Parts: sequence; structure tokens; C-alpha cells
Amino acid sequence: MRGIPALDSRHYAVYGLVLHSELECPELPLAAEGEPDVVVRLGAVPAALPDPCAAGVLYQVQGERFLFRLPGTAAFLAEAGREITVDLTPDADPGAVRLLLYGSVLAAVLHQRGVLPLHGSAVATDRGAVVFVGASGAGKSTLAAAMAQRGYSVLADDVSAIDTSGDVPHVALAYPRLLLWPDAAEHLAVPEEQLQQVRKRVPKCGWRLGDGFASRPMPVYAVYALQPASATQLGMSALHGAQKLRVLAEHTYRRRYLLAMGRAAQHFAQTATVARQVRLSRVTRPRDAFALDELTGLIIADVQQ
Amino acid sequence: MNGLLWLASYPRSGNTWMRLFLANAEAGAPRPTDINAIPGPGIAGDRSLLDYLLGAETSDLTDDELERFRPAAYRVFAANAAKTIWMKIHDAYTLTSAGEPLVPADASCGVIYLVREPRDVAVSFAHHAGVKIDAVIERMADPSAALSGDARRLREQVSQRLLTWSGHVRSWVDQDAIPKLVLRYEDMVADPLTAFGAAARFAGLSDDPDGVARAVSHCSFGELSRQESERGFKERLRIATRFFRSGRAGAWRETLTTAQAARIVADHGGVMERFGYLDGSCQ
Repeated sequence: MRGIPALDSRHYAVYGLVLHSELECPELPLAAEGEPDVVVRLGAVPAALPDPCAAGVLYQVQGERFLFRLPGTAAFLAEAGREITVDLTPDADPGAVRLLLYGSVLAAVLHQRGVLPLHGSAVATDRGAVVFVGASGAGKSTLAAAMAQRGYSVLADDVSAIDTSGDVPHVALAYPRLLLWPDAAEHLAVPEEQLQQVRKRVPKCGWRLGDGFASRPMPVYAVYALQPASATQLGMSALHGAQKLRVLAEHTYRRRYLLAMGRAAQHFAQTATVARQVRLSRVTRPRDAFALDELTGLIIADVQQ
Repeated sequence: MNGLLWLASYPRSGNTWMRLFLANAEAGAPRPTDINAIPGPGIAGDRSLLDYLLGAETSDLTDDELERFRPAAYRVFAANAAKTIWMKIHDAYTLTSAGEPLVPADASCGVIYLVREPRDVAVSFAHHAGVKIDAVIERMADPSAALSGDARRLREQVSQRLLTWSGHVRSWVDQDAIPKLVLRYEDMVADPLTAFGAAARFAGLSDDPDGVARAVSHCSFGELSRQESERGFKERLRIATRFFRSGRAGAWRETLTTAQAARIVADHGGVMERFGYLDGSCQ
């Protein structure tokens, strides 16, 4: 337990959930006390799940149980979307533990709870939320940061939790931080004192959002799938029908967990709901160039048209 | 034959050409395969592929962790594959910090290693990446050289160790853990039916001469160049005007200065000699 002090009752809000966590999560907004959606405890977890139905390099799935282990840092056991047990390695880097919790582990919990986590960042506009999905390195966070600098508030970075249970899909609030790589932070001229290392020996930095973080979840207006390409120009094309389903499936965060959890039908229904109600466009941008001013301009013009 | 069939080479040594040949040979179709729709997972260092196989964000991991997990990722891939998967790889054959080969033999059914005259590689690499030839020559002699090795930015590919050009060749050609077929680019140009026929056989495809000949013609330089002119090629870097640039062997003679050519021979003479690049036929 060394390295990270265990605190008593802590309530945090993230991805539309209230967490009651024994693990201190200073990046997460505090939530009012009350019945939490998910309880995060510190404790021992098994080395492996008995008879797992699927296993990746760092995780195993067995029914409603999900085990994630990064040797040297921590193991996490998420159960039925309600409980997470965190088994800390002595002297683990607390930043690394939380990076995994906020990303892969909570994504598994979202899957277990029937919420669709898209691999993307989301910002608030007058028309509703726009979500930038794409593979790692596509430029999602950098684009969200550029939008934030133009006054658009940020709902989520990297993981956009989409609640499809109501009439209209909503993006839940994540937490007020954008993850930027040094070259992007430099290009955006983010003052160095506003950047924080998130994990030792990992170059990406956290940019803490103050007023730039949105205050409430928002209906999704549009999804843009970012794709670096060998083109010299930006391009945008609207997608339709099955193309939309394919892109939403491709950019579902930790899609592999879902299949292992036997939730393919649930996932199909979620993506179909989003596809039916939300505009989806593919945006190609030159690889090896930020073209950020043009890109933000293109997005804003498309949202406003 | 299940598992991963690696198509390994130093960059700009005919890897894409080989992948296109195999795609055409497997399809056996009357028309050429679309160069922008080559089936298969792409390159071994693809970040999205590794994110998917690891079930984690590779960008949350340290370089050392990522390298140590890559062999297991390829095992997961091979274990879930219903057939042989061709996978392009530019990494040298190295050991991780845990002492394990980056490319695990138990997930591999073979490797086709392509070697190309390093003086031509230098010219081609410089055009492709939009950098000066001297910088490429420097890089080819740098044991710490890596693709996508810039730690300041998040790239679509993870960092891939190249070693020196000689080190790259030796790492793959001298390993005995994975069955290998070593082909020279120059032989693929000079006698494609023999070279690609051997590749088809090694990959477990039919080596029927008519089929091989048709697949070879479907990925001839003229055909690839025609497709790139019409529709572009997604693997071209923005900086380069064309991915399929000349495809010739021996073009270095018109481009490199005497000093540049001499530097490459000084750096890589041993391996060049071993592959016949210093005897009369290739000089």
C-alpha cells in the first residue's frame, strides 16, 4: 500500500458515474455523497480468473468479472459494473495507477453497465456535443485542445462515454484534463506550468482544464472520425448507413473487452442508436502536419452550417 | 499453416511489393488487387493493432513495457488467427529487455526477409522521407536508429528498432528460431518468376507458373505506379511525391556522390559482400 495513501470515503464524478473510491483521484471532480454507482476498494485480487472466456495480454474476462494487470503497477478487478478492487504493487507510480483506472478499467466498467465508450474526445457546441473519434495518434486530443482554446468547453478526452438509454444519445462528463504529447502542447503554446506529467517515463502530459471543462452532459450532435492520410489537404465526407455502424464499432474504446464479455448484441444496438440519430463524417488530415487552424475551422463551419 | 508469416525488411526494400504480390497470388483474380485495399493487419508496429491486442493504450505504457508486451501481443494474434496472417515488419530481430525475442517463434510460421542494395536503399529512403541522403546514410550506420522513435509525439506506429542497415540484415538472416526465406530485391527485379515463385511456395500458396506470372504482372511497377497516379497510395508519406518511385535496381549510380557510395561501402562492406553487392554484377 505504500506510495498511494488510502483515504476514507471519497465521492468522485466521472463518465456519468459516481465513484466511491478508497484510491485518491485528485484529477476527478468531487461528487456529492450518496449512493455511489461504483465502489473502488483497495485490496488483493486473484492472479488470474478461473477458466476465463477470453484473455488478452494484460486482461482476462470471465462473465461479469474483468481483471486487468500491469506488472509493476497494479491489478484491477472490475465486477458487474459496480465494484473495482485495486491491488497496488508496492511503490507503484500513483499517476500510472490512475491512468489505467480512468482509461481501460473504467471502460470495462462502462461496457459492463451498458454504456458505450467511444475512443474520442468531445467538446460542447451550440448545436450539441461533437465527438472526435480516431485511432491513437489521429489527433483527437490535440483537436479538442485547439477547440478549447477557441472557447469551446471540453466534455471528455480520449474516452467519451455515450449514454444511449434515453431518447437522444448523450456524452457524459469525463474529467477536466486533456492528455497532450509534448509536440502538440508546444504547437498549441500551452504554458509549461499548466502541464503535468501523468506517469514517469511516459512523455504525454496532462493539461488541467479549469473553466474550459463543461458543466453538464450534452446530447451528441455529430461525430467526426479523424484519419491521418497521405493527402496534402483536409477532407470531409459524410458517412451513411452501414458505414456509420462500421466506424462506430471501429472506434469503440476497448472493443475487444466487449466481445469477450459477450456483449456484441448490446454493442450493436448502441451503435445503431447513435448511427440513427447522429451525423457522422470522416475527416482526413495530412499525416505529419497539424493543420490545426484549418481543421478547427472546418469543424466549426460544418457544425454551424 | 497457422500463425504469423513475417514479411521483414529494412524500410524501402520491397516489402510492400511482396505484400502486394502475395495478395494478388492469393486472390488469383483476373484483375489486380487494389493497392489501397491490401488484406491483412498492416505493419507489426501499428499502434492501434497493439492497443487492440494488449487491451490497453500503448500510449499509457513506457517504451520498455511496450517492448516487453509486444511478443505476447503477437501470440494473442496468432492464437486467434484462423489462417496464416502476413505481417509486415520493419523492426530488426532483437531481444526485449526481458531477454525474449521481440518476434516470438511460437507465434510464427516463417519469415520472408528481403534485402536490397544499401546504396539504393539510401536513395529511396531519402525520397520517401524527404530527408537528405547524407542524413539517411548516417541513420543506416546508427545502431540506435528507430522508426517512429521520436518520443515527443504520438505517432500511429510505435517506436521500432532498426539497428544499422547491416545489423538489421544480420539480425534476421542469422536467426535460426523462425524458418526463413531470404530474397534479394535485385533478384525480384531481374527474375521475378523465380523469386516470387519461391515466395509463393514458402507462403503456402500455389507456385503454378501461370498463376505466379499473373500475380507478378498485377504488381508490376507499371501497374502499381498507374494505380498510385489514379487514386494515390495510403502508405505514402505526405512529404514524398510518390511511394512507388522507380523500382529499379542500381539507381544509386546516378544519384550518390562517390563519397556517399564509399561511405556506405565502408559502413556495410561485410554484409554487402555477403549478398553480392560488391562483386562485378552489382557494382
